[in-house]
Amino acid sequence: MKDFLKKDTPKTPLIQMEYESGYFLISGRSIPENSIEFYRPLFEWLDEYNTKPQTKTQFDVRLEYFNTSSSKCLVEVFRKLEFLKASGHEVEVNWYYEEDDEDMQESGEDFKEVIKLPIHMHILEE
Amino acid sequence: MKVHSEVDTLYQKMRGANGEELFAFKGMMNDDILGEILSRVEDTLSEYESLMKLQRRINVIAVEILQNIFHHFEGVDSTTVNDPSHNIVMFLLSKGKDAYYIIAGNYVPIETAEFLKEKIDSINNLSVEELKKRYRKVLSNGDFSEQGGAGLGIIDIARKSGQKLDYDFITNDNRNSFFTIKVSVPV
Repeated sequence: MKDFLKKDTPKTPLIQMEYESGYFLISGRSIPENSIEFYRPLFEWLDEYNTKPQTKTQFDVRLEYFNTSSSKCLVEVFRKLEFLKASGHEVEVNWYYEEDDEDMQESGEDFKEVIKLPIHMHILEE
Repeated sequence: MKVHSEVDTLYQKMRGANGEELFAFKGMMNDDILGEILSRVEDTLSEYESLMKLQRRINVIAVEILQNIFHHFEGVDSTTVNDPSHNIVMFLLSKGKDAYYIIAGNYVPIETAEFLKEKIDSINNLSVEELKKRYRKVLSNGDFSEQGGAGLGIIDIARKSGQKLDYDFITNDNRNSFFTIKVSVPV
């Protein structure tokens, strides 16, 4: 299975999903007009990944900020990873935010609350 | 056109009414203009505001208002919004002594104005803790519809602002209202 790679733009994040290592990264901004359209190829890739996943999957979220339609799509991504975990695979999520950025800290805590995955919070020193 | 003259009057009244004007736009709206407004807001903030977290907060509120509440709102009957005579948007960013102010307005069908009014009223009644709970509930309910989306957008703006949301609308016919929202972001 191929990796899923998307370069960042001023409105959309970098997405780097490596099949062999099971390492997933999303970083930058996510404020596309049509988030569902933007994230659909990722959903499809994850559905395929879930049919033959690695033993361990690590997902690093290093987002600067995102719109609420992207947050709905992130929930969808997390749901797919929840499914993976429920089927006995190891899944770890790392949520990075800058030291004084209460908004991104709060967002991480929101996901921690609604998603059944271990989400580790990490402060990025400025 | 009578409708536009009312918007003109409102726009003139709003300009300079909330401290120093940093950015002001009134005109037609489409995808390119929306992108242009957002990048101008971003450039302005990077010049005026040294705190990154505040820059981000205001940027994301601007995004939420323009994309979610206005432009992409798929409410009860959004066809009238595409009517060229009603395609006019205003967007202002200013800075007062204690806060930044974002004021944005556009035409929405009357039903949408009612929906937004009820949504904002109910959100304004919530405490910080209740807002958090409401946000998490809407976030996790798996509903991708735009009605749910607009709801989440307004809650997000309210949380990030930390203040009550101010709004107003002018209704001059039986189909459309010019809906204005004012968000303050304390410095």
